[in-house]
Amino acid sequence: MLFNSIPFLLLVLPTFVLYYLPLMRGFQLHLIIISSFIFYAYNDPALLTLLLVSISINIAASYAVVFGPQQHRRTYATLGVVANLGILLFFKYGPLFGRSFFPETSSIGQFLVSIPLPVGISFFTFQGISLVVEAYKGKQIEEYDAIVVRGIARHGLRIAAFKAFFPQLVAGPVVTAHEFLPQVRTKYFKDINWNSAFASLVVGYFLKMVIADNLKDQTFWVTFPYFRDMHSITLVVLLFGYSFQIFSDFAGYSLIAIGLAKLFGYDFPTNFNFPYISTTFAEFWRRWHISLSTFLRNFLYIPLGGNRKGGFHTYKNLMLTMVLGGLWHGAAWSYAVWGFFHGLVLALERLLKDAGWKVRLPAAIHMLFIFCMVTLAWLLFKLPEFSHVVEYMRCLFTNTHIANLQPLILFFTILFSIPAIIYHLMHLWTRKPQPLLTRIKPVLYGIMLFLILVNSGGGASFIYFQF
Amino acid sequence: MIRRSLIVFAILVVGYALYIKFGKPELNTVQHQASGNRISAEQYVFGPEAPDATVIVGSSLSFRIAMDSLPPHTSNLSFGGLTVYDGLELVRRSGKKPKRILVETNMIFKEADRAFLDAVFQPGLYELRKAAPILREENQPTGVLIGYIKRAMKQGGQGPDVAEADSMQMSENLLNTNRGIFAKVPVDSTQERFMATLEREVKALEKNGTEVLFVEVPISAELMASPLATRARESVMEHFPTHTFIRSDRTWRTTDGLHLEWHNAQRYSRWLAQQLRSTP
Repeated sequence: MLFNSIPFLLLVLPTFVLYYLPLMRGFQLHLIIISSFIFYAYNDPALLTLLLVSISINIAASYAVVFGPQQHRRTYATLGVVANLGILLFFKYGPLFGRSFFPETSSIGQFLVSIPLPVGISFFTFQGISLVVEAYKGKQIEEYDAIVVRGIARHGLRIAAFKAFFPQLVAGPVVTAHEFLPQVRTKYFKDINWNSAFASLVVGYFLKMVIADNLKDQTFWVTFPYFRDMHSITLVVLLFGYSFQIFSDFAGYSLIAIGLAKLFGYDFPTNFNFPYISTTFAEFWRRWHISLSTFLRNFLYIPLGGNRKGGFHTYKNLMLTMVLGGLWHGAAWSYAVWGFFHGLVLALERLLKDAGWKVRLPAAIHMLFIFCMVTLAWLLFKLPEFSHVVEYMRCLFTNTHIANLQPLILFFTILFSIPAIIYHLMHLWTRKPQPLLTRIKPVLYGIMLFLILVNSGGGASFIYFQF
Repeated sequence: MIRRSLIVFAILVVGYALYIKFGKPELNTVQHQASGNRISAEQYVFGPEAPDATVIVGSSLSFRIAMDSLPPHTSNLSFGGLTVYDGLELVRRSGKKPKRILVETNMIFKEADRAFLDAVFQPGLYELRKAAPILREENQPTGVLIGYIKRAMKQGGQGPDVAEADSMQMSENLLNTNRGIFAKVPVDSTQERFMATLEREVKALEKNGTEVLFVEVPISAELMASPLATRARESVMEHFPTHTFIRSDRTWRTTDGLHLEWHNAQRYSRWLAQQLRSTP
């Protein structure tokens, strides 16, 4: 079920009304769980079984870690993490494994390739891992007492709501146990932060429905073999268009999720913090998909040793984290290459920093450079076939002879990229208080609402659903 | 803030609705292929039905037919990237009963696009778009903007406009791709499944009193003789032996082996109009 669909509206409105009824105060978690299951099962009810299995494993593992025999805590935690990773590996990487290591005619290969990818599996698996690990870490985690409460039924209810909560179920943000569970308490209508929820929802829907969905109809041409007949300039513009599309699509989704969660009394962490103004790759990863970067840092990079051993080990850990982070995005080798690219530039950046080498150029040049490099790497997302990426790069340089610049494609790609550019520039502008912005904000929100109503692109699922 | 935002929103909606109702001239508001498909579909579904209406259903091949060459009250439900089945289902679900339907036969072994049809007939939104024209694709502000730009740039109807020019350059790359596609014929069971669907749709139309004609849009001579094109032609003749099947023996110039080059599309449209006039 998509956030921008009528069935979603028909689910969320009654849920919201019932949720705040005084009679329902004792059943708010039950209501969240039921609505979330309907939300998840809407397109494929069979997938609900997997979600239920995942929830059950995490309820049992986290409870056993805290209230089981103390000498077996580590075993329970390990089993919990292994079970979570096992589910992810089987469903997400089974087909890649089948394609890569078995001949087409092999029955095992055919079986592996036929495994369906359950929507949201990458997100709810990571949440499960966060729960088990944080339960194991104990008092090192803030508000630890709220993570695993006594009484398996009560604990189960809270974990089911945490894992299934529909705003973040299928495409994040990756909300960890210590961020969500301490917020579980009775919620009151009067406590809703309406202005904040409204702003998140309007900007989120605008980015998704007006910007990303309209750009999608132009960046469709970044598809083999169509791009081979495009002029180099058009290919450059389309590549930047795709960069703004993927940002608007995912940042939009995250903002909608944050806004919806606010309506139900939960605060999710910021997931996108104007990533395209970053002046270094490290900064980019502190601004892009922040919940994933934080998860990878806390649950992979630091356990690998982080920067504790210095030099080579730091670079190796960075590379490994990013390659695995790349593969998390999709079961195709091009995602691993994308991760490798980011790992490599992060390691290089770190190497230069450690060597005391600093490039003294205006911040705008740094921003432009990082943006261009990040944009170039998105090609690996758009064209999962690696040979097509190479072909696109070739066409970027050689298609200068093509007579037709495809003005309509250029016009709309630029037109729909402009709001995403303004969105980032406004953030730079508002670093100092701007009274003018406060005055014009209602006008901007009014315009965005109007464009959501009359200028939305063809409905499409969110790009990150495939991950 | 929310109240003031909603006031601005309401003013914009009312103002724009008034402009669409009273101020918007005839414009080509197509923004891209999918938007063109959607506009054609909505214009047909929400528009009035003439008693002598003719409808063309097909793929991007028929999309290039110049409508001003054809008889009045002819609608073109040929969609770029889609198939004849999308058009047929659209006619059926719209509840309209055209006098005559021309079914393009070139792409009969290709699946319908459920997402396209579901988007047009999405419950709730369909009713809203029917009642409020500002919610239709053809009235999107960015489409209207490009409509004005196209109108300003078009010089007395000479040659294709900007929208059409985007896809009308000769492409050797696409020709090679199309050669590959047309070299393969689907297995017999798949062919039968498609033909059974086509027969079902044709029967349903004829039951409503609609006359069904088939038309093979000319493609390059090389692809005309390809296994896929030959099989599609033979299948139509086998399954609909008594129906009129309009085909041209002349050679036409295409941009990629499949799609007619702009001037040839104009000529072909006039030729097709002549054929239709001579068909009783």
